[in-house]
Amino acid sequence: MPDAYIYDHVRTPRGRGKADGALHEATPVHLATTVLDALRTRSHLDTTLVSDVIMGIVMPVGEQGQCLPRIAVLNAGYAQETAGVQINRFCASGLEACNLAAAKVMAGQADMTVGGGCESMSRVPILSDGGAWSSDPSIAFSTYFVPQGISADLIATKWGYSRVTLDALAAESHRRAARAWSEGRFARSVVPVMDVIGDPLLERDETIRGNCTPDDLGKLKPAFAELGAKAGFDDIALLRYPEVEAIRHVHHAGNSSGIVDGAAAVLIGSREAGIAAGLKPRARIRAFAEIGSEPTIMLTAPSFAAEKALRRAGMEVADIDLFEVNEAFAAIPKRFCEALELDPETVNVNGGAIAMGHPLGATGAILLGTALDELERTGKGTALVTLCVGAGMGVATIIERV
Amino acid sequence: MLTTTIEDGIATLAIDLPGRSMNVMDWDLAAALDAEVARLAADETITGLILTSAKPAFIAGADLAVLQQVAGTAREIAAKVGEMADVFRRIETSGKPVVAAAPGTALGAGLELMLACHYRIAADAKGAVFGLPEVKLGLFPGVGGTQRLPRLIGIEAALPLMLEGNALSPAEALAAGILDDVVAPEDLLPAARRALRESRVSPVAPWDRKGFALPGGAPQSPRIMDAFSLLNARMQAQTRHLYPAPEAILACVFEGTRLPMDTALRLERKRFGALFAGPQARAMIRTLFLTRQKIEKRSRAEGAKGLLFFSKAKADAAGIEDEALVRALEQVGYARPSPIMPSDGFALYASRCMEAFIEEGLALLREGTPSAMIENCARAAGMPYGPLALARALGRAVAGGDGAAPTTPEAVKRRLIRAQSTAAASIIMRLAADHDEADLAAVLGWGFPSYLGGPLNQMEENRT
Repeated sequence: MPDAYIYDHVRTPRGRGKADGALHEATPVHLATTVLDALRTRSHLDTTLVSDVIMGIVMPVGEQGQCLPRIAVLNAGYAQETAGVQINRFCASGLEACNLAAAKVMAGQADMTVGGGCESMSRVPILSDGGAWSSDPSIAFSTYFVPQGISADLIATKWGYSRVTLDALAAESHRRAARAWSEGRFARSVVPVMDVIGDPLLERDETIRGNCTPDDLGKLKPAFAELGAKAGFDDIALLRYPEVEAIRHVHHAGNSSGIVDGAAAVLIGSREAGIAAGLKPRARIRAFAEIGSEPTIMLTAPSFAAEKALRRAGMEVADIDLFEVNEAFAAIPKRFCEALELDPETVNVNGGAIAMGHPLGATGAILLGTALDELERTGKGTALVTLCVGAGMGVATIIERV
Repeated sequence: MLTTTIEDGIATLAIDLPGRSMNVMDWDLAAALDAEVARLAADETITGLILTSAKPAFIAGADLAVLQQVAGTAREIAAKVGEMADVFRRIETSGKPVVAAAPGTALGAGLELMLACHYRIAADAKGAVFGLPEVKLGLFPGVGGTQRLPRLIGIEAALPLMLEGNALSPAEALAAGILDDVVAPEDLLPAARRALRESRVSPVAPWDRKGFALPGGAPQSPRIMDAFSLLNARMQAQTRHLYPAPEAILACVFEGTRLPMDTALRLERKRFGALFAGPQARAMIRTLFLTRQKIEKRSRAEGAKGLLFFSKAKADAAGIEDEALVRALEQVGYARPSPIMPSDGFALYASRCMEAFIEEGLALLREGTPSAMIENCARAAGMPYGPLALARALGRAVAGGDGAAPTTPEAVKRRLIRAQSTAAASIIMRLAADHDEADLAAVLGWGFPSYLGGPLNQMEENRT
């Protein structure tokens, strides 16, 4: 089986996902085009080598619908022969796209591929695609559906994470992200999004507040208390988890991932394809895994996915130098660290989605690139990237520098 | 059962079930309506039909004693219910305009029959109510109601009426769009005739016309999708996954309103078959309706104003002592005496069963089961409160034990229910009381979950 290597990674800065966000005027196709264009330009890439562009898009409707990756391929001026496909594994779509892109290479069915993702949450809001899970009574009942915020609060309650602990974790995410920017740690990967006359719309992640303190966050109102009580979601969670006395609502806008716009792309290929393209591999994809778990608590699967990927790689937790786990809610990295008994100093060292935002379809690919940049910066060897996923799934990928 | 009079080409069919104070819908009446409507539809001299009742009420609902006899697999029940739904559909598609003229109450299948007519008039009669209360007995409107009501008044308006089962006055039903007109009682049939003569009644239902759009938003619209998401949650919290009817109602509407009428009606009867093949609705009909009727009749005969339980039973000395427990619980708002008339027998029965429930909770606690698990499992099993909350309300010591018995939520639920059943069985033997009566007393007396029928019904179900 051929190995799959990462040759390059780019992402856009993440813009606040609202009408006043800097990337609001950029179409989703333009975001995807920006990263594809940058990959090609900076590597002088012969795009006829690229067989497929796989992108995660979680709301694939409206202007973000159809098969956006193929449209972006055409828009970015790639070779006509390069195909494109959109995938959706909720929040891990971007990582899943990279895994599938790598799998095509490993299976010998493609020599070079692009994995990545794109989401303009300001233009195509979350939940735009409807879906059966919460709305179809048969499904909502049989899965004990609750929204993710309730699941996150359930996790915090079950394992006893206080509001203070989670707010501190959130403030630390901002501090780390601000430090990473000030030290230029993202410089290699972030490409600005330009407007039509060639001026940048955004060059840096827009939502970081380096001076954010736990006390500031302590003033925010819990986001899911009313939903949990009035709509009955707390009761549903207790039906599944009767050992929990009552759901304590500790998550809010400040210790949950931000709504942002952004895109990312990762160039993946076999050793031979890299030689043909004249590129040097930056890392090898050692293993990846996806897993499902109980859907009401929903967001505890990163550790399960990580363990599964480690088993596939024949590795131990101790073999991993660096972890990136998506900060969907503050309780998620907290639980991940506890489950795998990790030193928090090895996890999300440059901040995460609480500070910089979570452009749903793109985040997984962003985290993969962030981990790779940090390995190179620190001279370390291995990283594990993982995300919690709606409906109880988890995805994890292990990379190793070469 | 059915009398037809024809005047100026308009046929008036008056329903009048012999020997009953109120009309109820059953398969015999449906067959009679079917034959008569078919005969009149084939008569070219007939220009319109009026369905009415010769009794003060229109139709009080389905004959539940007859329905309770409908047994078999989900497929067999669906076929049986489908026979009636097909009759309604044939009335709707007979080609003649049909007016429903209700002199009074139309509930359940009675209102569903009205919905299958092309125009609905009611007399402004005192006490008349209109609604689909099936959910209260674990059922749902299964002869077209879940499909026609949302198509008539919109999904968001229709769902609460079916999920809560509340009845509307004629004026409220008119405002809701369920009725087209409300008139003085003496004007009922003249108004129906006028509607037909003035060609205000189309023989084609709106949903059978080309380009029909659901009022209040299509099922695919974000607004309606959101409404479903919220109702799905509220109903899960409310039913605790124990009472299947609300989910079935939501599913019938969610899935059915996306379909053409005939497909939607087939879907509805399949859901009904699946539901009624299960035990919950049967248990609820048995206890909450059939037993209740029996006890009401007997209580009236004994001159009681409410439901009188165990009036013939004699409580012994222990009973007097136990009565204190029920009184104490009443005072802290737990036992629900209304509409029960207190009797020594009832006090003894309720006291013993609730004591057993509390004791089982305390035993679980001593064995090391966490208190949250005990309380949540009691509620998850359908009890309105947990045993430890009761114990605390009574001022008893509630202390955890050091046991570490690994208990599953399923086992905790089973034990909390079984404790009540065992106590009920033993005390009923002593009181020589009727099992059905004891079951209803438990449901009304201290909130024993009705989907189980009652503590004794539950025991029998488990045995078989």
